[in-house]
Amino acid sequence: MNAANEPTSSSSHDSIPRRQFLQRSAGAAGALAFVPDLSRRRRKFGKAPVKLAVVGVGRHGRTILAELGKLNGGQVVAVCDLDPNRLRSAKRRAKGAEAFEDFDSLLQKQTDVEAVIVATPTQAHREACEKALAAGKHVFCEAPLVSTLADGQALVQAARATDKVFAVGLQGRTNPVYRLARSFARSGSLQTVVDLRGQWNKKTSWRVATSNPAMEKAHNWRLDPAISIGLAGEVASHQIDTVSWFLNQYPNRVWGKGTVRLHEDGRQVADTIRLVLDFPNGASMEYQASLCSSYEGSYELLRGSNATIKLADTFGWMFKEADSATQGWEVYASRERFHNDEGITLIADATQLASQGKLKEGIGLPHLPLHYALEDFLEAIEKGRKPKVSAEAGLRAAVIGILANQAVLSGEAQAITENNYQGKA
Amino acid sequence: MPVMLAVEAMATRFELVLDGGDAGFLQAAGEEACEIIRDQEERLSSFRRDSLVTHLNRHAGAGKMAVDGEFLELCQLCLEVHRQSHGAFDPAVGSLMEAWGFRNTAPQAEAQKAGPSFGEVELDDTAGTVGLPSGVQLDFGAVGKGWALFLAGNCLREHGVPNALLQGGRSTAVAWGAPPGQAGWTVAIRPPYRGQSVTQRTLRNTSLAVSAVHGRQLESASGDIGHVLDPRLGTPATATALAAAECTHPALADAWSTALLVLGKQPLQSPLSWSLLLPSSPP
Repeated sequence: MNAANEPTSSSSHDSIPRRQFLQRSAGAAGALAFVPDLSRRRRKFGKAPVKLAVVGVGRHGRTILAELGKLNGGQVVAVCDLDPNRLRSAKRRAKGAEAFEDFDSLLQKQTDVEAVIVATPTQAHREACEKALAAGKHVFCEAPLVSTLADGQALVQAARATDKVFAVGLQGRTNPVYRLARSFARSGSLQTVVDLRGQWNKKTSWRVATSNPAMEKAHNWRLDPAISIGLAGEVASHQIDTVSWFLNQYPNRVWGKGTVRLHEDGRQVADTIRLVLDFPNGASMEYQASLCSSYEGSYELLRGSNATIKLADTFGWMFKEADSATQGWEVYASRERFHNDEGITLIADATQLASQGKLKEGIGLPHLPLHYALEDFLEAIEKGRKPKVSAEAGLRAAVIGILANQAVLSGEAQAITENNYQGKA
Repeated sequence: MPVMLAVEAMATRFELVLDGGDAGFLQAAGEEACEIIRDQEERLSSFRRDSLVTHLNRHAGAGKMAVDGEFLELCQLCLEVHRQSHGAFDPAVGSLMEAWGFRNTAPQAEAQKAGPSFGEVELDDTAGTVGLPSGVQLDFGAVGKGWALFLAGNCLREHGVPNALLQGGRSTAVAWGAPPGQAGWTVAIRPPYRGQSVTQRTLRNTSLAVSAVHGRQLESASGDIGHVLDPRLGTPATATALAAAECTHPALADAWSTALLVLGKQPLQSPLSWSLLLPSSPP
C-alpha cells in the first residue's frame, strides 16, 4: 500500500478471497448476485424524517431536491440561494420549505434543521460547511469538496472535531454498480492493471444566464480563472477518485494541457483538457474532458490483463480476455456488444431480475447515482455510523483536481505528495 | 439574431428559438432550459429504469410513495384534465399501452380493456405522497412534453428572454413575444389527409398542441392501430384523426389535445381558447 493510500471504507466483499468470491457468484441464478434487489427495495428509515436544509439550489440543487423527494428519510424544511428565481423553482419541488437568501438567517431561524446539504459553488463550500458544523448540523457537501488546499485542510479539521456526520458527494463510491464492479477489481479479476482511462464530454457553454448584472460574477464562477479549478477540478476529480478508489491508491504525478477550442467568448478557463496521471503501481491514467462535443459522453475504464471494466454512471460492464479462466457464471450473464468487444453487464440486482425473467430489463440502476449518495448520508445519520465517503476522501479527490488544474494552467507536470493529500502545499 | 438550440429528449427533438438580447446570454439561458427538458425526461419517462415514474410504477399497490412537490403539481394538473374530460385523458393508461404492445412488448389481448383510472390514484399534497392502486402504471406521454416546455419556458421568462418559440416533437409548442416585425410565431398544422388545407396559427403568449392517431402506429391483424388509446374503453381512439388545442399553459394544451382526440368533441368545461378537430375519414 502506498503512503498516499487512504484506508477506504470497507465493502463487505473487500476481504473475500477471489476464489471464494467467484464460488459465491457462481451459485447465483443468473449473474452477479452480491447486492440485494434494488428495484423494488424501499429504504425504510425508522425514525422521523431528518429535517434538512439545502444550500445552493441551482441545476444540481434541484436534482438533489427531486431525489430527496423520493427518500422518506429526509424532509426539506429550508432552501437557500442568492438567486430568487432559483429559490422559486426550488420551492416548487420542496413544497412547504422556507426560502432564504442568506445562510446565516436560515441557521438562526430554522433551528430545528438537523442536516445541511451544501451544493453551493465550490469556493463557498468551506464557509457553508463550517457554519453548519458550528451550528451542530450533519453535513453533506457536494464534490469537489474545496478549491484550495488550505480550505481543504481546514474543513477536514472542522469535520474531525465534530461528532456529526460529514459526507462528501463522490457518487462513484456509493453507486451500487460501481461498488459491485470494485468488488471484482479488488478480488483480482483484472489481474495486472495495464492502464486506466476516463472521459467526460458534454456540449455546453458552462455559462450560466442571469439578467441581473450584479449576479453575473457569482453565477459564472466556473469561468472565473481566479477561483475556478476548471474541468480538471469540477469534473475530472470525481472520475479520477473512482479509479483511485478501485486501485486503493492515489496518483503521485499529473500532466495537463488545456485549450479553448470552441467557446471563444473571452474566457480563459479551458473548454477542453487532457490529463495523464501516474499511479504508484506503475499504471497511468489518460483523461480527457470537453465542453465542445458530447460524443461518447462520460465513462471510466480500467484495463487489466485478464479483463477490462467500463463504468458509466448507472451502467457497468466487464470485458473478459479470451484466455482468461471461465468461472461459470458468465454463461448466464447478460451481454452487450461494443463494436469488436462483448461486455458482460454488471447488474446490481441480478438474482431477483433473473428469477423474474427480466434480466435484460434490469440493466442500469433504478435511481440516479446521486440517490444512493443521499440515502447513505441519511442512513449514516439514523444509525450513527460513518458515511461511505469521508471528509478525508473528499479532500484527496479535491487535491487531485486542484493540482491537475495547476498542471493544465502551467503546462508542466505536478507532483502530488502525501503532504498535498493532507491539504498542505 | 435569434439563437437556436436543440435537445434530444422523450424520444424526440425539442427546439428552442430565442430572440432579443445578447447572444451569449440567450445561449446560456437556452442551455439551462435544455437541461430542464432533459431533467423532465429523467423524471417522467416510462422507458428509463431510473426515472421517477418507473420508480412509482414499480411500487404500484405497495402503498404511498414519497414524491416532490413539483411532481404532485403535475399530478394535480392531470387530475383536473382527467375530470374535465370525463376520463378521456388518463395518465394511468400505462398498463393499457403495454397490453396493446406500445411498450416494446407483445400485445396481450386479454388485458386490452379499461383498468383503474387516474381518479383512483391517491394524491396527498400535505404528506407529499402518491399511492398507485395495484395494476396502475403511469404514463405521462400525453402531457410530458407540455410539462417540460412549461418549466423550460418559466425558466426563460424568469431570465427575461423577451421572445421565444419552444417546441417538442413538432406536436407541442409554447411561444411568447414575437420575431422582429411579426405579430407572433406562425406555425402550421399539417392535415392528416391529402387535399385538406393546412391550418396556420400565429402564437403569442400562448401554447398549442396537436395529437393525431397517425403519430405512431402498430400493425395488427385488423389493420394499423393508432397509439392514442381511449382509456374509458381500453381500445384505440378512432373518433378523430387529428385534434389541436390552444391555451396559455403548454401542459394543459398537450393533455387536452389528447383528450379531444379521444372525445371527438370539445366538452363544456375546458381552459382552451381555440381547438381543431379533423374527422377520421378522408374528405
